[in-house]
Amino acid sequence: MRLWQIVQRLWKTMLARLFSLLGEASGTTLAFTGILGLAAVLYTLYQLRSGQGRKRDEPSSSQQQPPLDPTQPSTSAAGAAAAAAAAAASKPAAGPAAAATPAAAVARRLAGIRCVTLSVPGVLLEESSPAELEESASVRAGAADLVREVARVARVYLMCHVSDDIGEAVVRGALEHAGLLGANPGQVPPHRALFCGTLDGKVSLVRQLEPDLHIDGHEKTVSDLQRFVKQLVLVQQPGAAGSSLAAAGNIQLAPSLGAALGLA
Amino acid sequence: MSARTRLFKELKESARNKEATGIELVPDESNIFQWRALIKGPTDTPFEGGTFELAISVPEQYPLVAPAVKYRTKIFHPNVHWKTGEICLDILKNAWSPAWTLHSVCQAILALMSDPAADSPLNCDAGNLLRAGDIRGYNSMARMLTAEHAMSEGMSQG
Amino acid sequence: MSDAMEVEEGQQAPQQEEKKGKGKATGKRFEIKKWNAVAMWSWAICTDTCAICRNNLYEPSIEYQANPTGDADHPGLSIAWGTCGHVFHLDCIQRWLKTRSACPLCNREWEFSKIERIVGGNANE
Repeated sequence: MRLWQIVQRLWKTMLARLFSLLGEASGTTLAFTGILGLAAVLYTLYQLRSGQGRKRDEPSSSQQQPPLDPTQPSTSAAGAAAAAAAAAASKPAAGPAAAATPAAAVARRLAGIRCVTLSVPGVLLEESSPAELEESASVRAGAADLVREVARVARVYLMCHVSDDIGEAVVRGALEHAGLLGANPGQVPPHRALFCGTLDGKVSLVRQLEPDLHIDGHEKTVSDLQRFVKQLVLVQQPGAAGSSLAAAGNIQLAPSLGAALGLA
Repeated sequence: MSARTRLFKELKESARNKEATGIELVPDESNIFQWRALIKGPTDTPFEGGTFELAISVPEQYPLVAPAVKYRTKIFHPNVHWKTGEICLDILKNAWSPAWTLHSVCQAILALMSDPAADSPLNCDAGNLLRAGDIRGYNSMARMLTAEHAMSEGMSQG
Repeated sequence: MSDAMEVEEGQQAPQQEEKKGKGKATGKRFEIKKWNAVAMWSWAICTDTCAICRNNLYEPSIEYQANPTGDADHPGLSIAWGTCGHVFHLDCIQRWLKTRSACPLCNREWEFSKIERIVGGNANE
């Protein structure tokens, strides 16, 4: 009982002081207080979004108590903010969490995709034309790792436009040397490395395989396949003349294979 | 019924021919009007090394009417429908003659594998590859799909 | 054939005598010392199997064998030549011609050239 009396007295004192403060305070002071309160609320929201969903007590709660607070917008804003903050806090932390590994990023990007076809010039290889491939085929190391990750989660077909047997041998040798061809998980079976002699032929190869996703470094192929393949990715260096292909519904433009798969 | 008699004669002949030509013709045990053929991909074609199964359904008016033949094994060929296995071959349609037998029909199909006719394609992608002159692409795809579907140790990933 | 036959010289006179003296048992006869036979032969038809029913052309067609009527005019008991030279059982080729009027073996337009009955084991004269 005594405790209750103490609490009651404290409460009355506080209220009295508050009323006297408010009665004395000028309009400017009250406005200033309201703005400070709003700022505090927004800061809280920002922290919640970038943090791991840690719940924080709103520092403005003490200012919200008096129902006679003239700065109405502050109250309603704070109220809305409180609701939003609560909702944000209760949402699972998956949204803002960035994928920690390439495997996870690839798995996320390829959710629901079972079959992927990939044209290697300009994407997996530095060289992008049959003439260049006569001389050499250099596998981009980062891209090779990504192809391995893709091969773990989907059926992968690699294809390459070459001009003759020499080009085919050069490319096949480079792919084997990079350890991309084989029967183990993370490798592409050797017979799934396809070669063709024309760009139109490449389109026919992709249409025959009916993949869920096709990745290519050549604008014309992507444009030819737009009607037939569910998802397309055009890998082109920024500044290349590929921007005539507006990023239509099913075409994704990316500067590299990594970017196409959701990695920075 | 004369169709039945003639089919029995063909059964006796086919047993003799099997080793020489690489064509194995086997009738259904309970129904001599249904046959299965196993043909080996011809050498020097991208189908080499593969074994392809054909389903043959013989009508009652045989040999006055052609048998219905289709591929049970998937094959990448301009004159074969990829999904249904239907074959576009003139002797099975308007150029049929009763001089053909089931064995010679299989030989004609083997010849078709070696010499596709890209003009009336049932598989447009195969036809387009050949018409564009992209033999490399055609062979590459045919070899790959032969390895995946027509060879018992074909590698298939999930 | 006179050069193929060698006759002893001096037999010329008895040759004439032989002719005149037909029936008489007197006089010398010819003695054949050596002779080379020359003969020619050809198949009466190019093959002995009907391409339609796969039966031998010297025997009735499959259709007749399935239902032997005993009727000598049954087309299963006759064989027919086309102008292209190919031959089939008459009933076999008649049934095929209802579908298409082309020779089953060479695809040329069919025209009957000759029809004959199969007689026992001999089909031809």
